[in-house]
Amino acid sequence: MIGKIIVFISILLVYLSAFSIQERQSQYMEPYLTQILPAKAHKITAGYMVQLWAEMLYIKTTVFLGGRKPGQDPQSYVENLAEHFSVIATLHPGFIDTYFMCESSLSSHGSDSVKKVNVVLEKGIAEKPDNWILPFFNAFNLFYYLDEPAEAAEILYKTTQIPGAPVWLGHLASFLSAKGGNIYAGLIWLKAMLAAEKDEMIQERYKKEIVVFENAVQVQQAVQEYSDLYNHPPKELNDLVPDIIPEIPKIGEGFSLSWEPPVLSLIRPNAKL
Amino acid sequence: MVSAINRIFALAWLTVLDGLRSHALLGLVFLSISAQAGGLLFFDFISRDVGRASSDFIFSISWFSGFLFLFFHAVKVVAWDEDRNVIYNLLARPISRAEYVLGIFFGLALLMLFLNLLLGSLGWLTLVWIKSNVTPEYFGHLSPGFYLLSWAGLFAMELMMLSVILLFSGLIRGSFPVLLISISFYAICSGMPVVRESFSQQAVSDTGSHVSARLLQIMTAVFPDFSRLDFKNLLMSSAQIWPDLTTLLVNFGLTVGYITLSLWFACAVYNRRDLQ
Repeated sequence: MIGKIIVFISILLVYLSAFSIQERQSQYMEPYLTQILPAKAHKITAGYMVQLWAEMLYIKTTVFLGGRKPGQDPQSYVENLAEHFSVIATLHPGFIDTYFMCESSLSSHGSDSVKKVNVVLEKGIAEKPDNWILPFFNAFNLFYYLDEPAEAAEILYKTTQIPGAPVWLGHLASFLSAKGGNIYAGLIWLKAMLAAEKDEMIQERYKKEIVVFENAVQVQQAVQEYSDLYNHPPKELNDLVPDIIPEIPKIGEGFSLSWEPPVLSLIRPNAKL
Repeated sequence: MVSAINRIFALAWLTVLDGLRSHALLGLVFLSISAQAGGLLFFDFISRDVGRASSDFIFSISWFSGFLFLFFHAVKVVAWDEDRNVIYNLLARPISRAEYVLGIFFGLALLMLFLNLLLGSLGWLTLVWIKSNVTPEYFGHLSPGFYLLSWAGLFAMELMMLSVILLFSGLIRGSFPVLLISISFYAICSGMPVVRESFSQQAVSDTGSHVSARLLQIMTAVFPDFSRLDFKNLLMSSAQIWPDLTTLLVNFGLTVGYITLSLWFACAVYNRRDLQ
């Protein structure tokens, strides 16, 4: 009997020692995301439960994001993270949380990640054509991270057509359009917004901005004339004076022209947008 | 005809009573209710699309409960009839083999209906409670019509599976092989739409893939695409537009046709089968 008790206690001690070693090891393990199987494999496995399956994957991903240690190198997980969001969006494109989490956790990790985020967002945009936030994220990424204001403006113009989209999207689109070199499109949009606006204070603001855009359009037309005449764009804007225009018009407070041949942009040097 | 229906329903009722006495089935009901109550905790993990995630959870748990019912209780009931010689006692009475098949089918279907009614009612109450606890931004729509439609789709899928299980039970002896084959059948049904999608993309340019795509299309008549009866995405859709009536009639009509044919084959197999 005593022998059995000794054997039992020995086995218990061995077990507890192994357990404590395992626990100590696991404390030093960094949280990680394993490579995810393709969406098709998940679809076949989950069957009717595919939506819940996607939501469980989402929870797993958010738990990983919440459990990261400060200072963990984002490059060690961004690829797997992007794959996870892509699979989740493919399995359950109607689940909106995926896009918010994807945008907030991935877009700041380099241009490759941003491109992957936009691919995920496009799935949501196709599934939810009445949601203006997803194309706004898409446009924001294009402008802010990928430096493609013209493309961003195009998406924002389309977004303003969505019922419930805020008016300031159109305003933002005008500025992005001008920054991307399409000042005339920005001007037309501002005029359309002025016609639709009822608030007098905002009308005044639009009118001032329209003057700025009209001045910039004058310069753009002059650049076009110069290019037609000499078969090349001017090296500097001052080359337009006095043959094409008598002087470069004063653009307006808060705005300035940026000339990077052949693109003339209207920018706001003191503002992010 | 009337007496045949009476005999079928008498057997169906026996199956229902037998099921209600089964501890395993009562355990399944208890497990399902507990799992559904988990929906009250699950939505805490979701930051925005609370309504969608909650309804997905409720329907998925109910589908999983139906899955367990079909693959463990239904398969066992049919197999036990042979293992415990119940089938001989039943067929010794004035009941034909076809009536036996239909009686078992309707009995199990009735049990499944009770299970679905119970889970459906609890699921609805759970969703209403969750909706009352969050703002409309996070849980916009909860329409009883779409909820019933989603549930009808779920029940139709379960009935299709049940009819196939009865057919397999007639073809194969023993509950374990029937269980394996039924699960394989379900796996093929789940995989078929994915495989068809892959082949339809290739078929645009490749003639060989075109033939395979056509073959897969024909196979879908045998291994039905259950996703066509999955309406739970409509429940949270902001548009709240009902599917086309023709589509609904075709989908549910196809379900009725599939069940009828499967039972027909099952009756034919049982009629020719050597029960010794």
